[in-house]
Amino acid sequence: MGIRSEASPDGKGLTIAIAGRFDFSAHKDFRQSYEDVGFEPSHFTVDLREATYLDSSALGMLLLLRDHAGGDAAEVRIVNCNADVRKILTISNFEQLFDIR
Amino acid sequence: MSEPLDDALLTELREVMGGAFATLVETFIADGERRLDEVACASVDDALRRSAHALKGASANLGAVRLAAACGVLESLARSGEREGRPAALARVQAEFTVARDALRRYASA
Amino acid sequence: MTATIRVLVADDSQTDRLLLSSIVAREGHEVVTAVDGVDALEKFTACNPQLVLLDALMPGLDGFEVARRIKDLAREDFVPIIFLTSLTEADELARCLVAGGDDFLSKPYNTVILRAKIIALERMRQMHATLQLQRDEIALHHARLVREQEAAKSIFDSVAHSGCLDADNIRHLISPLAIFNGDVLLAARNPSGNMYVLLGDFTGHGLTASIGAMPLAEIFYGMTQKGFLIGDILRECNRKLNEILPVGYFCCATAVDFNFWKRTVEVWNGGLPDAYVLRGDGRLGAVRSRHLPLGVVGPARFDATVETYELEHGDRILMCTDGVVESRDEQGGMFGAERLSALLARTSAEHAFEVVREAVLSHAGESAREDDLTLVEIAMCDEQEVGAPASRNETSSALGPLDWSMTYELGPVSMRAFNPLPLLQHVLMEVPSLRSRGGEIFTVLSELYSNALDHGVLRLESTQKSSASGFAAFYADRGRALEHLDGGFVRFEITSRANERTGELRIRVIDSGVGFDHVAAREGGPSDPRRLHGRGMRLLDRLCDQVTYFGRGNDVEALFRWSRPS
Repeated sequence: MGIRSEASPDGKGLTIAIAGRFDFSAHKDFRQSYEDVGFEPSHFTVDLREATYLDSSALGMLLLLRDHAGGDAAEVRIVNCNADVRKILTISNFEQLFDIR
Repeated sequence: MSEPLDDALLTELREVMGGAFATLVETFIADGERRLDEVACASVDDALRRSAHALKGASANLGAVRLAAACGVLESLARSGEREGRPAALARVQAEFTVARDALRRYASA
Repeated sequence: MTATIRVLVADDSQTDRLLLSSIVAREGHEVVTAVDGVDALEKFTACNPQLVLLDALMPGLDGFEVARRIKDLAREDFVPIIFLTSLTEADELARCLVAGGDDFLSKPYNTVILRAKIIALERMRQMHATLQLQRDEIALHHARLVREQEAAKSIFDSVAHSGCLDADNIRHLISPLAIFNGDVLLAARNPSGNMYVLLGDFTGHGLTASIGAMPLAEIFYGMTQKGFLIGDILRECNRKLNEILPVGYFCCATAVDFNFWKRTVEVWNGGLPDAYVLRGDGRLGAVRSRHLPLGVVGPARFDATVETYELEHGDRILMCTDGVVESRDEQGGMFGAERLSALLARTSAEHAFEVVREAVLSHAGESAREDDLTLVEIAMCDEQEVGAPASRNETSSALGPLDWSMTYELGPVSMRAFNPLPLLQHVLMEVPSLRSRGGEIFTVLSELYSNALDHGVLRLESTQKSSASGFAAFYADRGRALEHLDGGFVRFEITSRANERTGELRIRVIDSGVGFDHVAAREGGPSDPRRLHGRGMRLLDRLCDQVTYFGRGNDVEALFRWSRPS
């Protein structure tokens, strides 16, 4: 399980890439990946290309990110979901809260 | 012929024991005499082996290297069950004990 | 520098004992000596040393046996044993370690080495002792946690109780401890006899999960009893959970409202796996999760839209939490939603519950635990089969308000957003003698109001509801009509007259709509379509003592008569 974050190419957003299992054990690292980044990102992208598994605590963490990013006003994208991850996000209807690609 | 005693070991031992060094030497000698009796009177191979082994260990601890070696020979003979050579080995042990005893006492009083 | 410890020196050679004691004492430690195996064990028991120097070859009880017994005596404590040996063969030395020795020291004894070994083994001993303390502390905390959970569970049980889960038309599987996995199953009858069932799965485990379930259960049971619609209950549950749960915590849920009179079920699925509609004729329908779980968004964004299905007698709704779908076999393969729906497609409705249960348990194999499965099935049946809802039968000698009247009128803004029925029901139930007929009264109030609003004010055609897809269309039309409503009214005029012995309650509902041809409808036979759908004339006739239509049909009065036993 590895979490990396870096500024987006245009410098205004933050991209967080998650590798391995996105579950309860990722909690601390995930928060740290967006909490002290030295600038105020205007949008966030969560890249799940290398994520193998997502559970309900991951959903909770995404909600925390969204809350940090401004709640209803937040712009949070979730990209590169594989079929399993997609399924979990669909059942929870998270596309009502996130831009999922 | 090599020295009967390991000086380096004894130097360290005397330093460790301090004032009790002389007591240690006498204890060893008393123990050793008992072991010699056991060895001489042993009628069963197993008993002989054990006593020879014990004396070997104690001798090694006191730096009496030649005595320890002689005990080792006797111990091997007892383990293998060989009869031949046993009287000679036993005599050797007794001889080396006497030498070691005297050398240790001299060392202790030096 | 190691702290002072007590060392047991066991050797049958006096020379060796003296030598070792001196070396050990020189390091500042306390020494106890033993001359043979038996003595060693006695001294060990009496003096509790922290380290044992043990001669491997002693007469009588040999060193290896002594080592084994010392380890036994030490039980969970770690007391290191250093074998003293002049054995040189590798396998003999290895034997020392196998027998329970932690190290060995060869003759001639090297002081430096012995000192180092004492320090190293003492370090290990202290680490072991620390681990034991931590383990004991953990065990203590764990025991406390278990007690707290038991207390939480008993509080939860008294709030949640099982409602009507034991009704004849419900089959369910849920562990009594499921609450600590976040699973909750609530079931209750509302005053008009509808059966509401809520299946919930909270994120988190242990107390985090069970805490959220308490307000959920209170709201569900309280509002059901007062006659609120399932959508209102879900809205309030969502509002409460959104308010009290920290961000990131939520409750996936499926709720159903079974109406035994109309043979319909309304379903709301927010975040749980598909619920299934199992029909007696073999057809299978899936009710997907279309909503965010409860507690995620605030009231403004919450969507209480339900899906409505018409069910025949014997048709069922099957719901489960993800414990079923995610149940794994020994290789880690999931049971999966596809397997579940394939299984249901080829199983008859009445056997589905058992078949699913068996299939999931056998899939999980050796590690199968029924405790992890939460599964519930509700069957459509006649109300007689499940009995009337228990009414509040308070026989109080107080007469309560006997002669009173009230007028309550709703304008368009109120009609769009507010359900007046629980409030009106509450007022009516203040009359003790009416309580035993609470169910009928509520059903009549509901029927009169929905006629007045849907068919009167909103001018919706009731015939739409006769087909399965018709429901969706009907409710869509209704939603649009409500949104565009800018005029109209529904007025309740309720009168109660009574003395100590008899009384009558009149509920008159007038709406601003065009009415309907009630005369013709009355004259038409029981199978006249105007009697069967919309306006619920048949139902009203059955439940009230008298129903009267006035004017152009937008004015209806239901009469209840009652008498008190002397």
